[in-house]
Amino acid sequence: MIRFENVTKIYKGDVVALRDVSLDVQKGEFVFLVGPSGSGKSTFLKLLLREEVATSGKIIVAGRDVSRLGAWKVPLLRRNIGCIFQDFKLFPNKTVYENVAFAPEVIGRPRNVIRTQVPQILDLVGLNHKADAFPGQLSGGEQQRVSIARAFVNRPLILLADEPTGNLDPATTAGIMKLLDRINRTGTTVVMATHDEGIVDAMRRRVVELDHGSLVRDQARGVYGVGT
Amino acid sequence: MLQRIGYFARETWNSLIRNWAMTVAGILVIAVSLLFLGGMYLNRQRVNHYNVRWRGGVGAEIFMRVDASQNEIGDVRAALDKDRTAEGLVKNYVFLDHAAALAEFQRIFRDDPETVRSVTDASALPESFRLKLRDAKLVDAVDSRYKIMPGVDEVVSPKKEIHQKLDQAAKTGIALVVVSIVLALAAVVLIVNTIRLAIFARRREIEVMKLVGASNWFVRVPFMAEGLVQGLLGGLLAAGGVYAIKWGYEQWFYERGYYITSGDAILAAIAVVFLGGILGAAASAVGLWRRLDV
Repeated sequence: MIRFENVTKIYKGDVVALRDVSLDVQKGEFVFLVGPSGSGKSTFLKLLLREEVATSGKIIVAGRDVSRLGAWKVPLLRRNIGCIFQDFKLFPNKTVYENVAFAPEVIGRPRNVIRTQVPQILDLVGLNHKADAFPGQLSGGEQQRVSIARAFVNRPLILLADEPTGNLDPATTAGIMKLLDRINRTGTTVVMATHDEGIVDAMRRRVVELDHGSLVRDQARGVYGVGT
Repeated sequence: MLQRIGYFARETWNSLIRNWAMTVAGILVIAVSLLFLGGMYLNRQRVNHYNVRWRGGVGAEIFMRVDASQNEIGDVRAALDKDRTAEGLVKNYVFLDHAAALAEFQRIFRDDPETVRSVTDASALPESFRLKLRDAKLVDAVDSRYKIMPGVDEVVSPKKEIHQKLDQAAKTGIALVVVSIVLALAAVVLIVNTIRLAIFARRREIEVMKLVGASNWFVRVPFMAEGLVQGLLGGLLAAGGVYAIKWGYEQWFYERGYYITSGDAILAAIAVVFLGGILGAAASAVGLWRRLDV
C-alpha cells in the first residue's frame, strides 16, 4: 500500500529531513510513526500526500508512483488518503453535518450519495445526535471525531493521522484510538505520527522510529521506547 | 453537473459579496476604462459617417432649403451649368433630389430601422447639389457666390471642416485610448488584489479541499469566475454608458451630418462587454498564478 525506496528529502538550505528511508506498509496495517520533533515525521506524511516531492528515491502509494504523478493526478492520489490533524481543521461556521459533507461535495459526489453516506459515517463515530451542532459547541474529542468522519467519509484506502491526540486528555484519547482501531479493522491502512508513549505501548502495533531523518527502528509489535 | 454549476455560482457570489467594496471598485474602474474606449469609437464613427458625403472628390455641397421652389432650384442649376466652363469654378456636379437624399439617409442608417422608419416623407430632407471643383482652392469663391442665391440654405465644404474634425477625433481618440489603457491596468491590479484576498479569506477551506482531493479546477473555478464576473459587470455598465453617450449626443450636442447609428452603438456595446470579460479573465489568471498549485 505504501512503499518508500531509498527516499531522501533535502529542503532548501541543505536541511536533510529524510535520509535514505526504505519502508513497506501492507494494506490493512496500523503503523505508529514515532520520533522527536524534527525527526522527519511531518516530512514523511507530506511526501505521502505529495505536498512535497522527494529529492531522490521512489515512493509508491496505492499503486501510484507519487514522484512521477502529474499535477492534475495529485487530487486522485489524495482521494485515497484521509487526513486528520492535531488542530482538527474544522470550519467553525459549518455544522457537523456540513463539515463532513464538505469532503464528498468538493470531489463531486452526487447529492443523494452524500445524503446517505454522511449519516452513516456520523453513526460510526457516534455523533449522529450532534449533526446540527457547530464545532464550537463540541468537546475536543468530539471535534476530532468529526474530523475523522470527514477524513473517512470518502472511504480512503489510507488514513494519515498527525498527532491526532495531541490536544486531548487520556480518557478522550482512548476513545479516539478505539475509533481508529475500528477504522483499521475495516481494512484501512492507518499511519499515525505521535509522541504519546502511552498509546503506542498500549496498542502493541508496528512501530517505525525516525531520528534526524533516518529510520532507526521498525518493529512489528513495538513500544515507544527502545528495548523497554 | 447542475450541482457543480450551482456550487460554483454560490461560491462566486458569496466571495463577491463578502468583499463587496473591492468588488465594486474593480467593476467601476473597468466600466470607466471601457467607457472611454467605447466613447472614442463612437466619436470616430460619427466623423466617419460624415465623410461618406465627401467620397469621390466632392468639393462642396450646396444645401437647398427644404421649402425651396422648383424655380429656385432651376436657377442654381443654371448657374452651376454656367460655371462648368474651362475658366469656371465647377468641374462637375450631381443633384440629389428628395428621393436620393432619402436613399442615402437610409443607407447611412441601414442598421438603425427605427431611425429609418421615423422619416417616411422624403420631402423632409433637403435637396442638394454636390460639386466637384476645378480646384480645391475655389471653395471660398463657390461659397460666396452660391450662398446668397434664393432658396439656398448653406454651402458646406469638406476642406476646413473635415480636416479639423478628423484631426480632433484622432487627437481625442489617442488621449482616450491612453487613459483607457491606464485605467484598464488599474482595474486588472484591483481585481488581482480582490482575488488574492478571496483566496486568503478561504485558505482553510482550500487547504481541506486539496487534502480530500478536490480537483485543481474545482478549487480554481470560483476564483476565476469571480474575476470574469467583475469584468463582465464592468463591461455591461460601460455598454449602458455607450448608449447614454449616444443619447446625450443626440439630445445636446447634435451637429448636422454627424450621426451615431444604432449599429455603432451595438458594436461598441458588444465590444466593451467582450473586452470586460477578457480583462476580468486575464486578471483572474494573474491573481491565481502560482497561488493554487498542488
